[in-house]
Amino acid sequence: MPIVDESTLATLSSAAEAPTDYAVGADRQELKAAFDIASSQITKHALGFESQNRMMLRQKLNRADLAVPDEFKKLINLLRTALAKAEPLYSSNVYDEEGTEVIEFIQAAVQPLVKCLQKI
Amino acid sequence: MKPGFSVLIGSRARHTHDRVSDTDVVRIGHKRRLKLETQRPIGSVSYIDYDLVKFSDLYRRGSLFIYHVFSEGRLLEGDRNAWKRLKNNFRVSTNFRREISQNRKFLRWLHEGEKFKGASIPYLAHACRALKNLAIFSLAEKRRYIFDKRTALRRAFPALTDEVIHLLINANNAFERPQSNRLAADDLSGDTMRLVRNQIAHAVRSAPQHANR
Repeated sequence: MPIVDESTLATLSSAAEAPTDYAVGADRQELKAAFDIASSQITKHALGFESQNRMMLRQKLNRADLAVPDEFKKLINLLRTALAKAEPLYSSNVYDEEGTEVIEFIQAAVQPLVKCLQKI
Repeated sequence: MKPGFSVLIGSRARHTHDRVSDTDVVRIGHKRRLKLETQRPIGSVSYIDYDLVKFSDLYRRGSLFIYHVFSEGRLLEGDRNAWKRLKNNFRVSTNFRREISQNRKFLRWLHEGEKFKGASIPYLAHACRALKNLAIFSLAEKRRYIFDKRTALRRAFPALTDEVIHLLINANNAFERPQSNRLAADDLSGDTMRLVRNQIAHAVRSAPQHANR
């Protein structure tokens, strides 16, 4: 079974390839859901737990005593980074009509995460 | 008087809130923090900000969200007379094809594959929001303006059972509000997820169909 389901990974991959397309509007809504679903599926697959929400997910991932299997260490580190940078995806900043901050998030966090998922 | 407006919307404006409800405030033309924040506990405050250009554009286009703000919002700050004039001159659109189509498309995407596996709560939370939006826009096309999510879901999609509506809203609360009651992913059995998915698929099919333009 893949770590992240095919359709969710397809959305993340499309966003990684064309960040500006996913920065605003309906595609941004899809990216947001894909990121939330992928985050949960990654921790379920690699660490065996699903969290109730993003805050709990981040808290669990940041615990010093979290045991991460070697094969998933890079992926979990990339997920930690992505979750820490994901705020623009969730903010309702209507002043940023171009979605500049979301584009930066995709480039800095989604692209490396997708690359890693595709390699595993 | 300080420029701009602050308007309380959502369950706290409707007086249907509970102890974990957010306080939703629309700020128009400014970004000052709400004074109430420092006076008494009112849950977490979520701001939705519009500059005057954006607000004017939505106003001119008859945005349903602006109608929502006018119809059930409570003005917290700003010139009451100016607000009243804006409210009286506002005409809400009745064409929400684009919004309906977007939410249907999103729900179809959510239904593809097995996104709920290993991600049951995010899946349900995103389904809840899109289905709620689909319900609100579908009703508004018929000039029925309902902004409470539970009521809108019941009215727009009578085939959704109360059990499923309750689960969707609980999952959304659990996902969006860390202080809300716990909903464990382990509590969601395969049968429950199948039931929810079938009912969502039925609701999406029953929403207004518009030809692609």
